Amino acid sequence: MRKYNIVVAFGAALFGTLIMYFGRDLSGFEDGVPGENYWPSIIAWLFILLGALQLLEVIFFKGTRAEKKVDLSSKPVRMAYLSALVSGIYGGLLLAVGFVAASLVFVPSVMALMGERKIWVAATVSVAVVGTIYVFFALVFNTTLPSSVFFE
Amino acid sequence: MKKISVLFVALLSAIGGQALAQNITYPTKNIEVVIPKGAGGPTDTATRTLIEFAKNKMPKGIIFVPDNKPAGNGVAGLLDVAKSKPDGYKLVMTTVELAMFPHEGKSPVTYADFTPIVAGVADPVVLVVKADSPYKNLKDFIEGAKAKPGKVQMGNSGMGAVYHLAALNIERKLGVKFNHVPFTEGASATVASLVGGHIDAIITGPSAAKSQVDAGALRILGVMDTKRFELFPDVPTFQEALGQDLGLHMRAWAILAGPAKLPENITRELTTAFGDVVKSPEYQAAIKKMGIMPVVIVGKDAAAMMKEDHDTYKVLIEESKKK
Amino acid sequence: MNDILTAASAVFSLHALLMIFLGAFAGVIIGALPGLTVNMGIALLMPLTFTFQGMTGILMLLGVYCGAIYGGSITAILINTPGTPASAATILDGYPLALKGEAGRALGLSTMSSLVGGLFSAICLVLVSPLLAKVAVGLSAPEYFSLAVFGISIITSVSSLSIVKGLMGGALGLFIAMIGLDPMTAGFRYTFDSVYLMGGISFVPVLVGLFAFSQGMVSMEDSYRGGENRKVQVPIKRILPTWLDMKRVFPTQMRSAIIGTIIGAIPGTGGDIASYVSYTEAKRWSKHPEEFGHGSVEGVSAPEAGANAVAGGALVPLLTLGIPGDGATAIMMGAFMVQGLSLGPLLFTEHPVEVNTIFIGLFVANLMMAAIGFAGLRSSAKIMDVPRRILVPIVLTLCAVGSYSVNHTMIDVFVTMGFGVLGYILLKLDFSMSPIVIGIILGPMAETNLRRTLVMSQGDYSVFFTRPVCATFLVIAVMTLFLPIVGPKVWAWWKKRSGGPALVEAEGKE
Repeated sequence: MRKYNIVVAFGAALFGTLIMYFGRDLSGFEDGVPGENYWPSIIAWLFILLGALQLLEVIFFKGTRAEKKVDLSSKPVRMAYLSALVSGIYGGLLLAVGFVAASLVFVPSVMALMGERKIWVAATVSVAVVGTIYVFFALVFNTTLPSSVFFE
Repeated sequence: MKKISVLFVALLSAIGGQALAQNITYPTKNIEVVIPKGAGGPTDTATRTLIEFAKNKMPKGIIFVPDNKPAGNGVAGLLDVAKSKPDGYKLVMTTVELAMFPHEGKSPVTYADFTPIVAGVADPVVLVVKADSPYKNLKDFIEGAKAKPGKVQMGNSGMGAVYHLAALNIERKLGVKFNHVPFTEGASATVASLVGGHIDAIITGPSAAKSQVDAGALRILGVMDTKRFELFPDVPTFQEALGQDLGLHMRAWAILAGPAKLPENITRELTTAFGDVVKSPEYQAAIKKMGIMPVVIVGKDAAAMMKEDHDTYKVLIEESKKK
Repeated sequence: MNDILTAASAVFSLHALLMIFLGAFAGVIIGALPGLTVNMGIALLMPLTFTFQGMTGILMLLGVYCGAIYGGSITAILINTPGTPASAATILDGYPLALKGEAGRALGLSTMSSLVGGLFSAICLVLVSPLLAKVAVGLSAPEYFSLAVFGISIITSVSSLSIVKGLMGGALGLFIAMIGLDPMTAGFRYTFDSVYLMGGISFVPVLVGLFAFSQGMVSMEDSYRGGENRKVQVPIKRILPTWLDMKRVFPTQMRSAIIGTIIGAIPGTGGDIASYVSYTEAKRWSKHPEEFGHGSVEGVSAPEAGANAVAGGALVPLLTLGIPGDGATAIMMGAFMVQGLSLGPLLFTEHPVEVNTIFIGLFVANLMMAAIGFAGLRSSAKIMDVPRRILVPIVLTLCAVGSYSVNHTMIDVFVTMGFGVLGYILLKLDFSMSPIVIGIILGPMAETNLRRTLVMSQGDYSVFFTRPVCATFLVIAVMTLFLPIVGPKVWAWWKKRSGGPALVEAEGKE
């Protein structure tokens, strides 16, 4: 954790600097009244200050949770990233083929990723989920679901 | 072979017939109406009433779904519809700010990006103070403002929006200076703040202040129009109250519009339906209760009003920048 | 008296009761679905109300309002996903309690607290609405600012693992909320010429991403770490909370109900703020603050009682002044207007029957909400038994659909996923999600009112200290901010000191 705490400290300071950099063209004070850059610069300084505090904590308070292991790359974690990637592809599919078709692919894929091996379970759940969501969102509450850009 | 060609013709005519049916029965699904203002404000209530009465003119089961998108003084909502497909399923209640923002560099879209259908509101703006305010009439108020320049707190619903420009116009023509306090939360927030006595005066639409004025909590000092406002016949116009014509006429309109290049048949369908609504006595009675004067400005007339104000504000904003 | 009887007969007709029931039922479902919020629920169902005669439509909306605020807690407790922003605070203790195998107890408590909060605020609405309305309009920009700062100061109490990282999360939330148009000058900030960013990043997709999507990723990781390792649920023997639990949480419920009613009455603040403030105050006054975050019964009750009390509070300025207290009542205002009721000071004298109908209707709506909650408790608690390999894909799909339905743009769906991944990594680094959410909720309120105050005072900062209400809140905020940091140390010091002399005395006797 110690290594990551230092990364977090510098990350926060960097973020604060970036906020200031991208806010440089905003107006400061006008006739003694704060302008557009007032609040962003408060937040930017807050980030820098918190980054410094974090660094002080790492240096002077070694104790708490410093020994905790941070796992950002083992296999289970990589599977979590994979699930996010699959969801991203799902987002693309929603745009391409609309809600029903995309979800009928997505739901069983995630189930397979999580270790569901019985095909009939995957099929039933997918159809039930898509059907229920469709009924509630589209029919009962009258909101639109993502639809394909190709057919409309 | 003959059988097949018969089938083929039948199929073709079925498809053709369906396409034809689709043309006639626009709309076939719910129509989204974007309201680029906060819920509960004058634009919001006017829109919701308008679409409620228009529902009866639509095929059964089709409703208008109002969607408030007040972010960024309403520019987000305007952009959303201007960029949408011109299929008649996404409309927006454009407001008078559409005639101002482009000149202030705040809106990438102008009136030319929309197809106007009907005006829901075209009300003059009014200057309101608290009932126990020391300013009994407009002359008092202007003199009070002259006595302490930059001290009288004037509430508006967003810098660069109609009520702020109206205040700027007063400043320019009468040689006073206000302390402008913007309330991006909307007109009802300015009224709340005035009722609480936190600011000295506000410029707003008559409908936002109506219930408080009726109850005797607030007082309208003047109407920025050429004639008195029908729902408040006792309130003088600026011209009457000040005894001189300074051309202080500002109106806040709200025009329901679709994106530009809306197909002719859809535009016709919508203007006919909404034209009937704004002429109906039931609708007129309902909006009068809210403090809005019914107007019948449909289609081309609405387009003309949008263009006229676009040009007016261009001049006004450029002048105010020179100062 | 006659007015009350007429009003009662209007509410207790079969048709009206059925409509309140249907409204509350639809509300619970809307609230439970992540992405569909209270405001959306009311906006979606409002067009239906126009077709009803008289007050029936408004009664149905009251049902939707109460039901939707409550519904969000079901998903919060069972799948660690706030159904609505108002139940984000319920997660803090609701989900840990459910993980302990006590989902039934958590749901029973949240339902009961929602009922208590709702009924209390309804009583306030009937009895003291003129007074509350006076309080609400008496607040000006400096008070709003101090209230927002007070809300933000809660961050240190809800970030359990690292206070510095909690504050960083809060700052991140403030930054996210800042993107878009400047609230005072209406100029662009950090939009990088993107049309999407000009409107600002929508709150609900961020919320769904941080909580629900990241939770999906955590479950995925867990399934590769050794499968289903969750506790077996305690079988639900009773639906109502036990007398012991009720006795313990009743003071918390009352405190939260008062907080919720007042926050609801203040225009521009709503359930999301009320629930977090209630949670912090519950923790501050609790005899067992160490249980908070690990399934405290008070921690489950407080946010729900607070959030549901907002309903009655928000109706106060709406009915008495014609000024809506939150987004939901703002939408309801349209329904009132269409029925020919002009809200404001004259409503009570001109339409006494309608006013009483709303009063009685609010009580009935709260009771219906609780009845639906208790009746559905057993079946909804079964969600805990659904294997995660089935639940996770459902949650991820709901994330996508829910965030899409907020603004009907696919960008929001990708925003959800992006914040989901960010949340997942931040969780690993000991960050908490709540501070980010608090920053987003309160950032605009803090900035707008800070700058509005300075516009009104023309750059003079002294107003923040000369106005008593404002100064009081700022002092409480500073205390709330630093107490969790220095509190434990002072406590230890005091214990040592008070333990010290006693020890000396004991020694002296010998």
